[in-house]
Amino acid sequence: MTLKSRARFLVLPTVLVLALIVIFPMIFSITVSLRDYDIRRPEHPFTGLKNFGDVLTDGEFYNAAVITGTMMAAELIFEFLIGMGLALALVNLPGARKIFQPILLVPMMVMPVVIGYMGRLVFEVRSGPINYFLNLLGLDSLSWHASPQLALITILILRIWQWTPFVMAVMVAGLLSLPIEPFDSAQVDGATTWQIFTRITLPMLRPIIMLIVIMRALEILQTFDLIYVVTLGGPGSRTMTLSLLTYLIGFRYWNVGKASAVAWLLMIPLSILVTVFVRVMERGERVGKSN
Amino acid sequence: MESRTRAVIKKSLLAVAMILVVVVTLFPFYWLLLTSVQPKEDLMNSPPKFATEHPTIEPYKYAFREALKEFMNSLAIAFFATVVAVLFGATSAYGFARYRIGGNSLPFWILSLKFFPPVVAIVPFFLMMKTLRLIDTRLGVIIPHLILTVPFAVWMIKGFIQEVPRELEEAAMIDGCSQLDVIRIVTLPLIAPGLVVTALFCFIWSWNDFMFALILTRNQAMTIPVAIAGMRDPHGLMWNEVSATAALGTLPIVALAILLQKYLVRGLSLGSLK
Repeated sequence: MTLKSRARFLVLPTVLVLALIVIFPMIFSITVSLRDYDIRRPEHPFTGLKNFGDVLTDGEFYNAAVITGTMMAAELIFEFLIGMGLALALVNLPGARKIFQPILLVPMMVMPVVIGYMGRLVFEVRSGPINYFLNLLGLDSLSWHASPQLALITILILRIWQWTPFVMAVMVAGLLSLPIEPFDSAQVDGATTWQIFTRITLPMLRPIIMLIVIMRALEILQTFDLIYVVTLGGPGSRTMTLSLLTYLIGFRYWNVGKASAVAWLLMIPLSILVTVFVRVMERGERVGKSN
Repeated sequence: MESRTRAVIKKSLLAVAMILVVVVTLFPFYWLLLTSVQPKEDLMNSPPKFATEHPTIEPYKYAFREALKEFMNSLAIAFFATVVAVLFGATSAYGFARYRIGGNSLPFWILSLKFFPPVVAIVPFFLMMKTLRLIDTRLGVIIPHLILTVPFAVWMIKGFIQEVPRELEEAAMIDGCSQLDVIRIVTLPLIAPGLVVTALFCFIWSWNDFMFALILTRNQAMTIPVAIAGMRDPHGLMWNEVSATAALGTLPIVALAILLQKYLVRGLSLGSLK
């Protein structure tokens, strides 16, 4: 037996375990999505694509898709703009970076359930500090997550608060890895700061910006914990995301067949993003090796 | 001279802005801690109090008493999900890094599993665990948590092994070491810090998980996030007690994040940035 064929046994257990806990559930999930599957009943008759048809003619599904899409657009734009600004500030404050950066990274390591709970505390209508500050400025108290108009905005504020530092930290790492020469020669040629930023910095950061956008999009599409704690999709369905809808259909109404259909529809954008992510990483690795 | 003053002013403005950002980042944590030690009668004050004269530790006593089981569950589940991930991760990462088993595609397939959405897995796992009678057991949560930890560990450890120069291993081989000795004497000590970093991240992923634990536990195996989300009494939320439990559940993670600060970006970008 050659060394390489023996080395296969190093990899085999992991591949088997992952096949068992990922591939098998995936196939199982497809078969469930093709049945009229109510957990409380003993029979689960095969109904073909009926669950998918039901979902695609259901207003709730489109509502959740629109809300998930809105969250995606709003979070990407704000997290990216603020994160980029913070990253540029930190790069210009080399001494302070070592103190600021670790502090700013704390929220995204904390469980989203606790983030949601802290959100409920600070946005509390009567005794919360945010309304208190609004009153100080002469503004009326708002009912934030309890209000149909503001619930989604409240969720977005919390999400942007938690995740902007991710964009910032990755961007800082990217900015620090850029070679110095193009900047020097641009300065010699008399380029303005804005020109340098748009013509040199941004194009050179492109691969990293791609990674950030994809990783954020993958996480945003699956938003669940924070909304579960703060609004549970309410008021009405104003903060209902696709993940939350899957959970509610499956585990409040016990229709796991229909829940699986929603999950698989959510899987479409997710798998596209994962494919792009893997491509970007592959390219990154090849570049790394040729150096 | 003038441009130097301008540079100083620019830096000071940036520093002030950053301090504001830090305050905004930390304020909710302060509010959580404040709520956790405030006497009950001060809680629903309007306007709110920004400090308390009579801190109480009763909520923490309550949290220790009532949520001890959940803490032990979270600890045990995260511990095993981590140990299994590092064991499987280290062995297979060595195969991937040194023998290029499966070429490029197999490691990248494993990487893509890091993003396998739990929401697709919850229904099949619920039905499987029900059939296996593993609902509300620690094992029933550890198994799906391996999705969160194993692909991550494989990918991270692969990166750490690739940083060990192959020449070191070859030199030891020439000196007459067996393959196993090389790993034990040369490779393992060099990747040990990387293994610790990977383990700490895995621990955090498992500790923070809410979706799997919510669906697969009822009471006996309930974890901390599920307990926090569900802590209500008939008269509404128990702000003090939930805050104390949340603070205790967050503290170990904040400590780990501080320990990991040098590696946070690497872990969060799945090794794509060092």
